[in-house]
Amino acid sequence: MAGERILVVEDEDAQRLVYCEELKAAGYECVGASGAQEAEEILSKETFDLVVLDLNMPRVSGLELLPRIHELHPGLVVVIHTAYSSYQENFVTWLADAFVTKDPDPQVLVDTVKDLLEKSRQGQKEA
Amino acid sequence: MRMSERTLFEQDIGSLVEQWLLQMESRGWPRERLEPFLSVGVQVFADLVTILSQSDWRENAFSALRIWRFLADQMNLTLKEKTDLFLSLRDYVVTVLKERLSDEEEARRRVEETWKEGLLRLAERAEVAAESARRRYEALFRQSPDPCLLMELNKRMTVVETNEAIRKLTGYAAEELIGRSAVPLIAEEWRDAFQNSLSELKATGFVHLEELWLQHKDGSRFPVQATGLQLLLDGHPMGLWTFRGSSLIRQIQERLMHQMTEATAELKTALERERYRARQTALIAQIAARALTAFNEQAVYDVAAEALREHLEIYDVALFSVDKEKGELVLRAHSGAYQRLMEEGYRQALSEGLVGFAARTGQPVVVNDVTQDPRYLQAGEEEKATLSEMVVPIKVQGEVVGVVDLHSERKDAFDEEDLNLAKTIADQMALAIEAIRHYERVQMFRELNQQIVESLPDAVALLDEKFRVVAVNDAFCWRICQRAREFVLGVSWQEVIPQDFQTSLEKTFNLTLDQVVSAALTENREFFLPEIPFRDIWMDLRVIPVRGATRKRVMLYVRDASLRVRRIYQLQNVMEIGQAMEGTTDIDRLLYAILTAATAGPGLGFNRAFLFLYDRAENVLKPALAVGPLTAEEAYATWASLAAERKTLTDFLSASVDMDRIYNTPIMQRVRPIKIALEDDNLLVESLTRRQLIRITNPISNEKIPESLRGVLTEHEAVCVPLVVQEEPIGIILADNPFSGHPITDESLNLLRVFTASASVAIRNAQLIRDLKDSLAREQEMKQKLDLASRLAAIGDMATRIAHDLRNPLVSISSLARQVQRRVSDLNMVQRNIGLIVDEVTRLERALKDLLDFAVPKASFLAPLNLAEVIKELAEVYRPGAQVAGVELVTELPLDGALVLADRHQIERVFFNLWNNAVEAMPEGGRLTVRLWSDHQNVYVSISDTGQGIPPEQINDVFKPFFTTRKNGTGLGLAICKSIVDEHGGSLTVESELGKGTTFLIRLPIFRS
Repeated sequence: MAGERILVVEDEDAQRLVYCEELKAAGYECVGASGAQEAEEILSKETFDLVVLDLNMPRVSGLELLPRIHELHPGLVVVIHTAYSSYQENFVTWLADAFVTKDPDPQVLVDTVKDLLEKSRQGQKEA
Repeated sequence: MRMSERTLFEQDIGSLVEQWLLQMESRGWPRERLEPFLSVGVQVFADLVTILSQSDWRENAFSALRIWRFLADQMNLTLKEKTDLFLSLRDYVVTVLKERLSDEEEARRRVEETWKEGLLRLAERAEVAAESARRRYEALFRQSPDPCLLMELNKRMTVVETNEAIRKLTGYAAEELIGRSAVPLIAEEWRDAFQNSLSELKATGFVHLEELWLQHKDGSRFPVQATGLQLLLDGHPMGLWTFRGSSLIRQIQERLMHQMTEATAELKTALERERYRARQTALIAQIAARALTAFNEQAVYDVAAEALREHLEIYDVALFSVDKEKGELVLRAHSGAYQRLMEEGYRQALSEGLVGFAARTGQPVVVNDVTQDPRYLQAGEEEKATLSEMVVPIKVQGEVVGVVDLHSERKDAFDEEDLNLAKTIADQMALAIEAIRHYERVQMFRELNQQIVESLPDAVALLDEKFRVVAVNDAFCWRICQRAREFVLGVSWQEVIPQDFQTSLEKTFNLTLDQVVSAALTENREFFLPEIPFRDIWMDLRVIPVRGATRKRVMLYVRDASLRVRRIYQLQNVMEIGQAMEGTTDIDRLLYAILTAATAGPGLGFNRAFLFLYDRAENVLKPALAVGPLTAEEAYATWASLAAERKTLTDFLSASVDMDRIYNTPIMQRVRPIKIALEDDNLLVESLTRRQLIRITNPISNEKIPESLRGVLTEHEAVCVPLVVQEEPIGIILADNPFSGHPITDESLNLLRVFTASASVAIRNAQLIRDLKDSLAREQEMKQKLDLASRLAAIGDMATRIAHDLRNPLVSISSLARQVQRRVSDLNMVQRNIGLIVDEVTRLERALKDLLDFAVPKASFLAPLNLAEVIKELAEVYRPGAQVAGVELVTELPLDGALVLADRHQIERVFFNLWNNAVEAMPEGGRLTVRLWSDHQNVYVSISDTGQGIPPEQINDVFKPFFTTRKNGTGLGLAICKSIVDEHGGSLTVESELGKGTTFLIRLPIFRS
């Protein structure tokens, strides 16, 4: 399991830092992107097992990025990570594999990521 | 019940009532006695049937019947007649009611029950009335000294009441008579006569019998005079008889006759003695009176001759005048034998004959035998028989102007008495001639005057100093005195000038005519008393003293000022109405003002007025408002109360009105459903389309009046006036006088025309203003909705922004803090995270400051303020509360007049906040000092407490939003203060020393105008 790659798309510097550190501490390899454009560039050059996507970002929002990820990188696991639970009502977010409302405790995100990657591995094994 | 239904119902009832009336007529009831039922009976009948057909009929039926009974009472019917009337009605009510109830038995039962109750009460009432009348007459009887007898007017002549005096006259005591027939009291052969007199009594209400013989209890008979008077006691005709013994009357008459005969005999001789003198006196009086009315000298001679001929037929009379120029006497008049001479124009030289002598000398001549007197001259054949002649000169102011010449065919015909008589006659003639000569001199002038006075349209009368009318013109006689000239001349003005004119003068000027005339006479002052109301007109009275050479007179000059007064009054009214209307843009109020002006007594004074407005959308005329009573009863009640209030038009117009009430008056309810389509052919539409005022005669049956309206109008004339502004139809006003019955005069129509012109404009204006107001209100409403929507949108925006701005830093802070919590030993990370947290907090602060800027209103009412004064006033308010908390507030405020430009409300907020903080910083009490000073650029205020002070590490945070040391503090107070002071271009700083206290310093720039 170790060495699975995660891209954290988060415009808030402090948060991106904290989430990356927590995910690294959990044994993953983590790259941060401060916006949607940067994330796209990184995704086109490198391969990831999972993307943590913030929705409310300046210029291009996560809601615009999500369908493109789905199109360009089918099968890539996406976790939406936002402070606004109301985004769940937007059907675009249903493309994602999980929807996590930002919690004061970063562990919630780490647990969700662990869970999804576990399932993803099992799915690949079965296939 | 709907209108049409009701009308139909009433029509049915109308024909039923008509049938009933016919039946009553056939039973001998005169039509005119039933008239009241015809006019109001239908309504009452309809009400009664309506009530009886309802389930609660029992409670109300009797009150309806009572109206009927009231009508019957008004008609002075007897109990029997009333009963007859009621019973006959019953079947008709049943006829209608069974149709309505569809149950004949029930209808009959309800009617029977109601009627039984009604009749019972009717009878009770009659008994009560009879009882009170009986008591009244009983008292009357007892007091009467004359023998009286009250009896029923029937064949039996039952005695109902009598008195003590009748016992003295007839020997019968009252109790022997009451309840029995009066017949035995009348002597047998007089009974028929008495019985006959009863029918006269019934017919005329009064009968007097010069002679009637009564029979005493002891059998003797005696004559009396009897007077009968018919009384109606609750409808029962009664005869009240009083008797007077005739023997006594006869005695008195005889005694009087005797006394008169004696006195007459004595007088008779004296009368005879006087008769002769009286005859002479009469002659003189006649001459005098006639001469005075003569208008020229010839007439004086004529009347004198005529009078002499009438009274002294035994003499021949010739009257001569002196022609001084020719030295001749001219025969002017005669009686007796001188017709021929007269026709010849007989003249005789002054030098000749007895007449010439008398004329020359001025002395009277009596010759009782002309044959013996050389002076005698026989003028012609006619004087051949003359034996005696007497000539008396007629002298005016010592000059002989003529002679009276009397001839007799007897010798010694004239005695001294005759001479005196002749002299007197001559004197009278002289007076008359003098008067005439004088009169003739002034005649010219006078006639001229008279003509002027007569031709004046104004009334003129001349009064002498005794207030008698000495001259007057036709106008005065007829218009003021309302009698012919001969009944005015010579009479005191008090008798000829009508009392109501005098009263009106007194009321208007607080002066009596007497006072005015006296003052005019004594003070020689002219009086002008304008606009005295007199009957239906107004009079200007001028009292002008006229000073002659010898006497004072006063002229009354009365001019009809009605036209002027009315014009002024009308103009005033129209102006008042105009003003009231101009000032009224509230359309309801305006319509009411218009109709009030049309109907109020001081206004146009119509009984009722209806205002229909043109509805463009439906192309109909709709009733907007109706003012006035619906029924005559309501009219009289209204007028009585109005008369008592004595209101002016302005009072009416300015009185506060309850429009709800106005729109719910009976008349308004009646006309509300009416709609008049403009396509219809009727007078109202015609009036509006032709823009013409139309008089409507007999509107109630006028084919060209909408049927719905005919029921409201009456047979009295109505008038319809169009309201038009610039060819645009506004509506119509309909007015009539159904209750006063006053005719609609041309004058009131003219006034109505003028009035409606301004009313139209006012209504149009009010309509326009109403439309304008409506659209403004709609616009306002839209604007408010828009405002609300945009505010909501703004709030939504703001909420999102706040959420985003606050949420993200909070999420970051909490994540960073959790990391620290979990791996507290990783010092590098802890240090870095705390740095990041501080950054995030700074972000939060910035967000909150923005929020505050948004939330705290900007300084919007800037004005130059004297801070010292503001603080002084605030301190007075604040000090008591501080004292309760154990804090002493001390102010040091030099009143140097330095001003700052500030929003007072916000500045006060700053002070309160700082003072509150100070007080809270001194939980054990202390002193709060407020100092003010200024330099050439700034005003400074320091606020110092003696509290525990702020720790140095916090001192920089105190102004930060949400910074608080108190458990329940919001941390916004100082932030807001700072933000306000900053907004004003000033600064707020703090210094504190732990344990000693804190001082806040406010600096604001000085304002220089």
